[in-house]
Amino acid sequence: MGLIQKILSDRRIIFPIIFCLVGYPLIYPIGLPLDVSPDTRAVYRAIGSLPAGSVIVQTNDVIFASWGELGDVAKVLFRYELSRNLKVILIEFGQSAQGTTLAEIFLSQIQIPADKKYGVDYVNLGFIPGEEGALAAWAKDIHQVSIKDARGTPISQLPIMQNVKTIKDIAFWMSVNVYGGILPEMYLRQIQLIYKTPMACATIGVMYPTIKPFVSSGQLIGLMNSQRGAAEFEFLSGILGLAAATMDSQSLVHLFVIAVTLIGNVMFVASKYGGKKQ
Amino acid sequence: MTPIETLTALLSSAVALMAWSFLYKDNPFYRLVERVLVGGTIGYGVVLGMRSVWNRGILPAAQGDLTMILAVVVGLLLYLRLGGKKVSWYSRIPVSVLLGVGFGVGLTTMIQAQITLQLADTMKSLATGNLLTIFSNTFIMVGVVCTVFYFFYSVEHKGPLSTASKIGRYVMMMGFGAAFGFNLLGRTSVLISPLLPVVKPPGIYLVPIAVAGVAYGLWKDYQQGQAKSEKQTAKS
Repeated sequence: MGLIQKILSDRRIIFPIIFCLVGYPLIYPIGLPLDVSPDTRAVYRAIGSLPAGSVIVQTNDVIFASWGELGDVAKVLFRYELSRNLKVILIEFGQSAQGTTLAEIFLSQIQIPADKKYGVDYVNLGFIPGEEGALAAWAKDIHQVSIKDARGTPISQLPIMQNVKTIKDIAFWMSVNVYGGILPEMYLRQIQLIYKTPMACATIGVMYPTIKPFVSSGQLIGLMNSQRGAAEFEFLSGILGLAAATMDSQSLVHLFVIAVTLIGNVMFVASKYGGKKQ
Repeated sequence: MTPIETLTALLSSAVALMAWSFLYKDNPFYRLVERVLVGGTIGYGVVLGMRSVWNRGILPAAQGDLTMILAVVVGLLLYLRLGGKKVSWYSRIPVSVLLGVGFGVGLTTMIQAQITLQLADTMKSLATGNLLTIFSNTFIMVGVVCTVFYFFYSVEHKGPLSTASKIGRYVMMMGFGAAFGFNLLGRTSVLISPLLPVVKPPGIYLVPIAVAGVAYGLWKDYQQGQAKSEKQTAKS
């Protein structure tokens, strides 16, 4: 008992085990089964049912530290939207302004079909400071608030923005965000409730429970959960990415934590019982 | 792989290994990465903020946009907070404008989006015909009522009220457990992302160097421990 307790409470032992469990499947994939959640399926169906040529907003409200979780989500969503011939507007209303740069980075990393052109089929409108007030103003008059895109081009010169004047010209709002309930609530208040624009969300694991109630109430169409959501979306859309390849590592780490939790609890109960006996 | 790609992979692997070296203990490599990250993020934020103010505020104001001139002037009042007792109260004007606009814009839809629609979602029909749905809807209703009651302090939680309070506590614990599970999912994703360049060449070639570094640290710690115990023995 003492040895197990020592092992379980020593981070110099726990962390190398975690590293091995994460690293091994990345080198030698195991191929554990992956179940697709109804919430991710709902996002997939909602975007897939939009008519070709519809305009979709994909917010990139992320920070550098969250990119490990949301990078694959943003990439697979963007690639799927382009494959459905949708016009994609990338934008950031968050608090950090880091999503704009991360959007530019992922645009340079992914393979964009040759017939899809920047400014015609997709655009990065960059960071809009001012949060709720700015969002409300942006929804009423996009050209008044977004004067230039993230690359410095006036949006009046971009073909994609010629017919996009207000939020009413946007068919779907996809929020990829790290801020948990704060930003989706803001989007629900200013976009979904007032203009009835259909909306879905993707967020990091720790924030997932804060947004889930809005899916149950029907305010959000669907919700993608961190890297797992990306893996599910890759599986559904057939767009290959890195997220699906990392799910074996996730499963092994979760199994390990379940095992350690069980052992820890059994030991706790045993020591409590033993203590009473004495 | 081009030389630039090789260099990028090596650099990202090195940075990841240096950051993870903290798992052994605090060391100069970890501190270097930490400072670079914090400094870079702050520098980036400051530059982007300044550019945003310049493009959206100063330039239109300089071109004679009256609304922007007013906005810039009101915004600058914020800095009078640093100007001593006589003028510092002026900084309350932009703060009150910000608060007023925030409340005015947000409050109108907040009640409906975040309270009434959420409340309505807890009032689900129990006559659905599906046993699982009936159980689920009953659980939500009982769970919400008991959880809210847990935070009701005007009566003593005794007898049946104590049971309700206890159920509320268990429901919350279920919620915390689920949140912990999602947290684990997120933290593992954060670990996987920088690990990807480390587990394949050329990043994997840095792993033995990192292991050697940790082994050296362990050896030094062992030696220091030995020296300490020898000193103590000599003293006693």
